[in-house]
Amino acid sequence: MNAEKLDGLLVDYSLGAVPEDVAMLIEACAKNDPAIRKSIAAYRGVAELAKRAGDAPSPSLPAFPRQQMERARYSQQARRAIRWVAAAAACVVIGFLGGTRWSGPVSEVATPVVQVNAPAGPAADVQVAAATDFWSVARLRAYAKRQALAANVHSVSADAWNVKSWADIQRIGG
Amino acid sequence: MLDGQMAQMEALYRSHGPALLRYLQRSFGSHADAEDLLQETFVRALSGGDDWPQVRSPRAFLFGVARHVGLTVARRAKLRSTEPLTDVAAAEAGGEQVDGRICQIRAAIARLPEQIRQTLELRLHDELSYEEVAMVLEIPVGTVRSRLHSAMRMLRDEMETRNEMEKSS
Repeated sequence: MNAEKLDGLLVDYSLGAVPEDVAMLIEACAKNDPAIRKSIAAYRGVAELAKRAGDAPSPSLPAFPRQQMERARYSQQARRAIRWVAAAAACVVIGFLGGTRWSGPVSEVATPVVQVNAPAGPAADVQVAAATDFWSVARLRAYAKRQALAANVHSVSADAWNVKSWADIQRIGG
Repeated sequence: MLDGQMAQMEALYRSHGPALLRYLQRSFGSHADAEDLLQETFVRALSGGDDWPQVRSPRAFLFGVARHVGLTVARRAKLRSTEPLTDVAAAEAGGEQVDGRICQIRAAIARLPEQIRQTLELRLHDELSYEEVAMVLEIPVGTVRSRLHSAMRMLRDEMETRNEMEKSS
């Protein structure tokens, strides 16, 4: 062990910061080495003086600030709640924006081509297209069919009911 | 649970309050300032209540919070006292019998570099362990050790020099 390391160890010893076994070793060394004894005495003297220099009369402790602490606790809870709400709102916004940004183009719902045959008689009821596709071909086709039934149009050929576009409807209506 | 937390804080206030008040008074200003800082320290410590289970040494944690509070307020108000230990006149006025060697060591401590002085004071006056000092100052334990070694060597050398000068005169 070099002199500097030993000196550091002696400082730690005089400040009471070495483990018991190390302290015993240092004491054993100090018995045989007057230089170590002198160093320990010097450091202990300095530590003792420095400690006394910092001794101050104990200041009177003010009463525990319970009211301020309660207030701080409530504001802490409020802050925490606000943080949670803000975080939840941010998640919703991010989810919404992310969903609209990264989802693929909205695919058109394939409208099934319905082969509508000429009704056997006026009693046959006609299914109305789903209300969601208000302007869909299926709905318009159903509308045209109802109109045709109301007008007692029974002579339309089966091909004529194969409506796939607005032009077909105009053709039937025409 | 919250009442339990408040009771815990009150117990900590009773046990560590005087030492914290002394530390704040010594480091950051007058007694009145120190009282305000102490209160703020405990309010902040309560705000960090979620971290309490992870705290190994409540004493070191509170000293760390007090240091941060003191530095923040001092930075704002510039009320930091620069020579807390050299106020010998005030100590004498307070009835303390100041002998020559204590005067000398106070002056010597006051001349130490700021960081080294803080480390020494936390160890000697506030009786924190090396690990606790490291936690308070947010530095490695090895740095605490080397600062303390430097401080003690400087003080020893200065005291020896003064003693020799006195003997020769």
